[in-house]
Amino acid sequence: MKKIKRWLLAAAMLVLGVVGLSGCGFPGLAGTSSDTIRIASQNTTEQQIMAYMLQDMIQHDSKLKTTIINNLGSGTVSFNALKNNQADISAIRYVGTDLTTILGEQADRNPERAEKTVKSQFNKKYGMTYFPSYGFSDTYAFMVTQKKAKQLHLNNVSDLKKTAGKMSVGIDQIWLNRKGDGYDGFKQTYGFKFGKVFPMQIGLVYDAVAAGKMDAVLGYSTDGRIGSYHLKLLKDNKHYFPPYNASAVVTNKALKQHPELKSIIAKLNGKISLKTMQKLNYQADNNLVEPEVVAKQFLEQHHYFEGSGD
Amino acid sequence: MQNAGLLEQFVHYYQQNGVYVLSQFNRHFLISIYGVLLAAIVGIPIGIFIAHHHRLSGLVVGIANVIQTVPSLAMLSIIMIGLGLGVNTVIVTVFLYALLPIIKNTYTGMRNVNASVLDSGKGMGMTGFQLLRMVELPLSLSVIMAGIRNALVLAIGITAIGTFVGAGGWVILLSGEPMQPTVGRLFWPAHCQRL
Repeated sequence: MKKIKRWLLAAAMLVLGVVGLSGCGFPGLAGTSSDTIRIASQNTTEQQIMAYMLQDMIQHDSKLKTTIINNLGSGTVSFNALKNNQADISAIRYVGTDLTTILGEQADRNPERAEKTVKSQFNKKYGMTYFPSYGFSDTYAFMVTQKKAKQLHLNNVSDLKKTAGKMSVGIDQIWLNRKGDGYDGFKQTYGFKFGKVFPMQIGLVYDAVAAGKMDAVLGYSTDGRIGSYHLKLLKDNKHYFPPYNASAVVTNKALKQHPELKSIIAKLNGKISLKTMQKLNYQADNNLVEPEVVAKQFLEQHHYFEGSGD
Repeated sequence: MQNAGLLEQFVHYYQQNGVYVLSQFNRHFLISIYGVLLAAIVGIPIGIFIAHHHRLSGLVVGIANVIQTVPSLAMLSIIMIGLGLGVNTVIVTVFLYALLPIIKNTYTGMRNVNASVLDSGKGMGMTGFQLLRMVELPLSLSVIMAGIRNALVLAIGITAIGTFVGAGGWVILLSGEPMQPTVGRLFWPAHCQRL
């Protein structure tokens, strides 16, 4: 009987020890303790670069511990991580996507109104604060080679009208049947359609147009390969594609606990233009530099934006 | 850079990202070690206990065996429901998988201590604890250590999956998007999930 008691005591102490240990975190492993800022990031280059940038900024300007929950599959996953209190910051959220997928509303072609709706809804419904944009937006854009642009005098999407009937155009698979901002709506808005449309995997369109296999393609405006192939983006002069303005989103709970977060993240407001983001993406996609290193180099170049922001 | 030779790319990659790769290696290593360490803290006493009360051994080893049959990706998802995204989930998963080799090896090692040695210990007037400390544990130590080593090998493999619940680790270099143009393309169609 006495023996069993002793074993029970030992077992109880073990359990207590394990619980205690996991409560204060494992040394050397960020993200295991409860007072850490957790940044959720998706698996795209852009997302990871911004997540590391936020981490570096927070660590540079405050004593908070941070960790990155990396490689999440989609915007919905990272949103749910925030909603379920498994993360505090979502590195990048796009206004246009959140409007249609998270809030389930119709795509809005008015950027300011869309942003306002998303901001207030996120605050009211989910208790999350949408920060002002980083300064770039990721959206669909038609692109052609510089040579073609000169040849056909292309600047706006409307300029395609004359030659569209003879063009072969590579597009994103999902865009073809997308409601709101898909191909059907595009035909209505711009009043023309393309001769041949080739739905393909989005990563292939940049190579396809650069190699001359396609006359024009629809790709993402921030991709690094636009820079490396010197592609020309055509201006969406009828504002057909919804604004995917990119911003950080932080839960109100985290902001209340760590008020200093607000001014730190605000330092990045409007600091990263479309051109800059393309360049950073290019660094990672083409020059084999890991996003973490890209982010650090960029911040060191700009001295962590000291003295800016509010 | 993409047109450079494979070796050139390789050298360039490590020049640029060496520190980052090392930090992810460190993370991977620590996650595995912590899981196994916790399993050893829990598993070795359990092993000793069931070696002394062998009627319990069938039940305990049975439970550990059942845990082992759950596929690791499924286990990770189940634990994620409770603990959420992040490192803790992976550590607990590693812990559960490391239990079996540690418990079983401790049990086997203790049982295989020669009965005559135990008898002579008792004959010298050793208490139960002295017997454990000076006879049983030293004689079964090599078997127990083999169990821990097995568990560690297992753990490194399980931590690899942990990158999918956002824990980081070495595999992140293969599963993320930037590496896609080279090695990563073989592993993960990341472009499909953009936006």
